[in-house]
Amino acid sequence: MTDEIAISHLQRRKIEGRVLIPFIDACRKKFGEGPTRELVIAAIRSHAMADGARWADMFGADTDGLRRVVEELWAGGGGMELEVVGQTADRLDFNVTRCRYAEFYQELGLADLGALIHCSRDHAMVEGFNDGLELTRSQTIMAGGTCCDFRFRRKA
Amino acid sequence: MSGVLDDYLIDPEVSLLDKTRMQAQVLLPVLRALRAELGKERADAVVKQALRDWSKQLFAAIADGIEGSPRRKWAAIQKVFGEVSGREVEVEIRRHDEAALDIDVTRCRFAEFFRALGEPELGALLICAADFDIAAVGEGAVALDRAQTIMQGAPSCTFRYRFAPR
Repeated sequence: MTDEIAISHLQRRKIEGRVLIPFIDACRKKFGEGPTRELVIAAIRSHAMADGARWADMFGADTDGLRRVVEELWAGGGGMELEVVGQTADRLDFNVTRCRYAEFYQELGLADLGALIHCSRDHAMVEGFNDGLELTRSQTIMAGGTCCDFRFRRKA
Repeated sequence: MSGVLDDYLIDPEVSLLDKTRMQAQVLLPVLRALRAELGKERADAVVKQALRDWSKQLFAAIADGIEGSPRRKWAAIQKVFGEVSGREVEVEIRRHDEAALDIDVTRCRFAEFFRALGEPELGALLICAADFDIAAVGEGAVALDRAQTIMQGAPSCTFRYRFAPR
């Protein structure tokens, strides 16, 4: 397996997208939006949870580790620009103000697929990373928002 | 990096083998979920159609961006693809002249990866099929016949290119 840092996260997602996008697009045409969505979410979910578990091993399964995932992996190589709003042991709040992952899908005219393939991973990722944490997010750039407001919290 | 295959390779720092592995790793969970719903045959037919269409369109679009005759377009793409794929294979050249290029691939890391994964058909779609889409860029000036591949379980891949007289 390729070393995680050797290739930027953005490049990896683009490489994956090159084959996932035509496949999922074909599924949508053949089976319709609803069944495809269910199928993809379930399958991507296991992939994302495994990512989360691996990143917890690499960076530590706390909010410090999570911040490194975000800043070094996701934003590394210019994948996104973000502003951290606040961080304690129990929470990590940040806003993504520019997202080249979203730009990649938007340029292809496939922002809806981007939300499905890319953004929907994050909830499953944090489950694999540390199931004591959860993510809420009221808007994303992919879905047309001005920013993505990530709010990670320790579960009550 | 010449840039000819940038749209295909995405990142020239990543080997073609690693790129293909990443794609297999993300496709397989979705493909397996689809197989569980539809059965292997129907699910594989969907992925086959999708990936074949994508690959044909991709190489045709790359060819559109290259100046010159179909033969020249083919040569430009084949040169770069041969370099990046050539790192993962061992070959014996049987014939190379104006009219023909006969190559036997005797070892292939792509095939080793996909056969170990138990997914040689996916490997054939992600890698082996590209050779025909690249040959198609030659629009009749280049023809490829390949009777067998290591991916399918044969001991070698028998590439037989034929070139129309110029």
